[in-house]
Amino acid sequence: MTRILYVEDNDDNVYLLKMLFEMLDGFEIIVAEDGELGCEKAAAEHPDIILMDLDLPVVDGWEATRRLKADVVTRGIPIIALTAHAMSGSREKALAAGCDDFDTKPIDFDRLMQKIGQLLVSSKVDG
Amino acid sequence: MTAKASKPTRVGYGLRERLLLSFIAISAFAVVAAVVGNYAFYAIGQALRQVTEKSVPPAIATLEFAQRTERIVAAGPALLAATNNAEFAGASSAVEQELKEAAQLLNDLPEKGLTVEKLIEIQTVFNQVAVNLAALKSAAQRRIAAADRKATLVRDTFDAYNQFRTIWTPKFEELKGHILALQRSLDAAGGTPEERLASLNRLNAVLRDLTPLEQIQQEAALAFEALVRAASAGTQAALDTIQGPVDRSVRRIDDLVSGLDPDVSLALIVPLSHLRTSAIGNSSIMTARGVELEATAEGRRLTVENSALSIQLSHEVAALVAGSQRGIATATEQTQSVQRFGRLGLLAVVALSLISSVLIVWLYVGRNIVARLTALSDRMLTLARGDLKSPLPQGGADEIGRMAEALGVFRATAIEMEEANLKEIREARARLTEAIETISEGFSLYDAEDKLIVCNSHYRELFASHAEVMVPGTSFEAILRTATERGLIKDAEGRRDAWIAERIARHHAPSETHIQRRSDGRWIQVSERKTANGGVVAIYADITELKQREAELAAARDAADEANRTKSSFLANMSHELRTPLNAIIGLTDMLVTNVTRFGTEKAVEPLRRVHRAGTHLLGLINQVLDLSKIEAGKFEINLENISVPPLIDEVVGTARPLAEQNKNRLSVDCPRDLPMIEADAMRLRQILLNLLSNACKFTKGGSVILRVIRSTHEQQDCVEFAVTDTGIGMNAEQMQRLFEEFSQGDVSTARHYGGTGLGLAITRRLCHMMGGDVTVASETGKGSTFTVRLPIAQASAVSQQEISGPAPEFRRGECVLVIDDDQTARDLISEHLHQAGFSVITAGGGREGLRQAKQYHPVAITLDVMMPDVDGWTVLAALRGNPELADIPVVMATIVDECRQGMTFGAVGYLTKPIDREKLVELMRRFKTPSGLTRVLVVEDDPVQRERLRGWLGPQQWLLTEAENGRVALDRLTENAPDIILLDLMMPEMDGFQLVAALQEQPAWRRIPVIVITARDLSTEERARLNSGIETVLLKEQFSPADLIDKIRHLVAAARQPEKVLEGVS
Repeated sequence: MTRILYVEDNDDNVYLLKMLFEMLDGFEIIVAEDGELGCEKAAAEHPDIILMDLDLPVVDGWEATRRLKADVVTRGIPIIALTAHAMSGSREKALAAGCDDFDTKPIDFDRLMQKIGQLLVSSKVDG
Repeated sequence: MTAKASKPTRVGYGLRERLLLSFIAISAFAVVAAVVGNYAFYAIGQALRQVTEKSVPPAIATLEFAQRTERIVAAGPALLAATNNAEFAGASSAVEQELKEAAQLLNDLPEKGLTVEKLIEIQTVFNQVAVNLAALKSAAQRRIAAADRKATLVRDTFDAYNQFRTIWTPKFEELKGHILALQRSLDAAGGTPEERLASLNRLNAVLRDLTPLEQIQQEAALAFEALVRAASAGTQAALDTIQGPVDRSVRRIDDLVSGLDPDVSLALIVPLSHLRTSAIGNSSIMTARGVELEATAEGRRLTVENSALSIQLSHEVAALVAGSQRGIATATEQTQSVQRFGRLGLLAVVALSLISSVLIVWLYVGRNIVARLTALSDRMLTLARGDLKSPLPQGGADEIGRMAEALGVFRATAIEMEEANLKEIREARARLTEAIETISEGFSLYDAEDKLIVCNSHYRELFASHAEVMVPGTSFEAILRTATERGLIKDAEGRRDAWIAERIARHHAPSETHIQRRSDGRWIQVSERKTANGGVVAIYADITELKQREAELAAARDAADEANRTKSSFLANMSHELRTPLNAIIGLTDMLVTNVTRFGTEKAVEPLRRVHRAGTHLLGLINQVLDLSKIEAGKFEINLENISVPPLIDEVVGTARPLAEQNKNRLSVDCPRDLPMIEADAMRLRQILLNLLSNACKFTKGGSVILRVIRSTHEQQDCVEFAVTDTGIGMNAEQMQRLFEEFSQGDVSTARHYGGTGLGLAITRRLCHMMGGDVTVASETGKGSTFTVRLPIAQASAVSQQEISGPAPEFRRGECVLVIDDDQTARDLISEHLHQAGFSVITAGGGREGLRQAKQYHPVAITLDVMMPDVDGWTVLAALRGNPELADIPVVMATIVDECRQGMTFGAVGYLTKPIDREKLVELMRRFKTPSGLTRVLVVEDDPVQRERLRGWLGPQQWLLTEAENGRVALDRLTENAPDIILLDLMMPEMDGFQLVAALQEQPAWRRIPVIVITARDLSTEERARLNSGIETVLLKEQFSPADLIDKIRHLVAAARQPEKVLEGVS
């Protein structure tokens, strides 16, 4: 069972992703609505991978990523940043904050799955 | 500078001494005159004193004394005449008084300056008078006493005599009786002889008795009579005469009495004694009378003596007076002689002094001093005038001579200075010329007579080909002439003299800078300014590069505007494109959710709903983005119509309810059923209310949202207010402020939470303004917010109503110009200009009022101020353009800011900068007067009946009507002859209205022809959008009147006939 923490405030996005993953077996989705909750849940649940929306209330995605990467408990969890921001610098900015990968919205599910797969493999390798 | 001149040696007397002497001489005369005068005064004074003190007083005093003495003397007789003591006393006291005063005077006399001898004489006389007076008084007294005594005695004598008579008369009678009786008896016969004898005896006895009595009586009578005589005897001699007999008589009486009968004699003793007393002795009448006489005589003598003395005194006095008079006369003589002397002396001195003064002034001052001074001052003037070479006058021994020497020194110094100055001037001029040369612009300085004073080489170079003309002193005109003759100035080509005249006029009254075009392609900017002394400074700057840059900038700006316009119109056009796919998404998902069973989509309901919601949300966002860009592009249309409120509210609330339920809010509505109609764009109003309601629902969780509709008044205008109140998170003051700013939504965190681009409120506000209303907010953090939309109540149909109703100004639609400006002064000014040019004018003080007026009067043109407080000019412009009825009215922006580009983009046909230039304003406006010339109308309509109708309406207007039954035919007609306006039906076979419009757009020549679409049905937003870029207005078949149509045609044609972009002319 791969446990994915999805930090996202938009309900429709959550619904969609949950549905998609549930159609595939072997995935469990944990949801957090803002960056703060995201950090808490990451520490508590210790998911295998985190999908982080960047535009979040309370604490935004960039900040949450930094915190997670700074915290020893959660440092090892790979984070994919998801954002609707289409501007050129967004990718670099996300990677600079510590994200392991980056994807734009609207989500191309196949592409996302590929990225997840790669990260899971590499993390498992890293242990 | 030269050394100070050395003091020359002086020989002889100087100016000062000589003048001093002259002064002393003249003064001496004055002194002498004064002395003479004073002496004369003194002498006269003395003489006067002599008179007043020495001569006159004694005379007066003695006169007075004499008078008094006379009076005293005169009083004497009075004294004498006094008959009794009382009188005497009175007279006496009077005399005494006089005497006293006289004595006083006498005492005072020595003081009055009499000589001692004279005084003694007078004194003596006076004393004598006094003495005499005293004697007189005593004499008078004696007389009076004597008179009194005499009177008493006389009275006594009378009494005695009477007593005598009293006594003897009866006796006489008795005796007489006896005698008689006896006689009778004797006489009578009868009696005895004895008897007779007895009687005879008796008779004898009686006779014997009687005789003494008789004798006494006689003697008494005699005595008495003598006494009486004595009492008034005139002389002592007389008295003596009387004395003897009286004595005898008295003695005889005594004798007789002794012989009398004792009883008789006893009786007679008393009177007898009285008689004796009166008659004899010292106390007798005679004595008294004698005393009297003596006293009187004495008195008289004294009086006489006094009179003589008085006369003597008078003489003395007269002498004195004479003496005094002589003294006075002498003094007078003296005075006169002194006076004569004094006058002569004074005259002589004055004459002398005058003569000497004249001599001094004429000879010395005039000839010597003044003449030399004049000469000297002439030289000085000559020197001052600059003639340093003229000869100086000679010196002299005195101060003037020194002056002459000083003048010499001054001249020398002046010559030196002049040389130094000249050198300095040359140097200064050189510096100035250098400085001017370094100025990179052409510099020239002309004097007040337009002659060139100085210029630099740049200036010369500007007139390069004839630098030889550019010397100082050349006239401006000559330079201009040469320049134009050699064809240097492009502006002057073909109009040389006129240009020169213009240039000279500007030269004389320099105001703004002006630009010259040179024939070598250069642009020269000329700035001229008047100097303080009437000259002109001119600076010529080569601004060719500047101009180039300006042109480049203008091109860039144009490009940018073009790009902006392209972008905006692209966006506007894109609306269709963007919405189409969304239509599919929303529509199809809706269908799948609604018809689950049919499509077997039970399981898919949830995702489909989400898709639908996301699609709708997206549509809303796209609409907002497009709306905003349309607003920017000035293509935002609102379609004002009269709307009934309650049904619209019902609709909106129905749509909003699900939103409320989503956040568990309670939505309630308070809307009275009897609201008046409002004038608004129904679709936009729905949009606004939905926006507010959805915001309220979004920002409130588990609370309540209330929509309240009420009628109210705002600034004397009836309106309807829509208030949306929520009990949500509320806003603080800062958030409220940022609320209506585009692209902000409270703050970032709120945006994150609730999504959305935040355009909604900004658009809402714009829309409200365009509909003649406003939106306001009230809020408190944590308590909730209330958004209130205010819209005006519908006026009854603007057109016909206005023409009927009375008090409006007498304009027919389209004959006036509307001036919109918040500043009263600006309004008045523009109105004035327009009135003078023959326009009728209506005014509005603000955007909203302006919109109302525009709708009401449909002016032929509008001037619009940009800076206005309630609604700014751009918004008004957008509103005007957005209102199909008003979009054809040409708008001229009046602004103090140079924003002409913006104005053109927004659809203004011209702009004017404040302060408004009257001529430019009028010129602009003139283009907007009702057009003349034949109007060509192309009617594109497939229904012949409709065509017939239109023909019927438009025919009487004497316009040239062409008809086409579909789009294709219409294009043919267009190719033959372009009309001024097209009336277009949309639904036609072969080529419909939309296609025709698109075709029109492709041809530049046809693009500008205004098109009126006449259609039976409502146009959807999309359809309207399709026609957007070519359509001026849209009419619906059932709802317009022929008059409306004709008016619209007229206006559109007039608008189209203006040149496209009217720019302010370049000066």
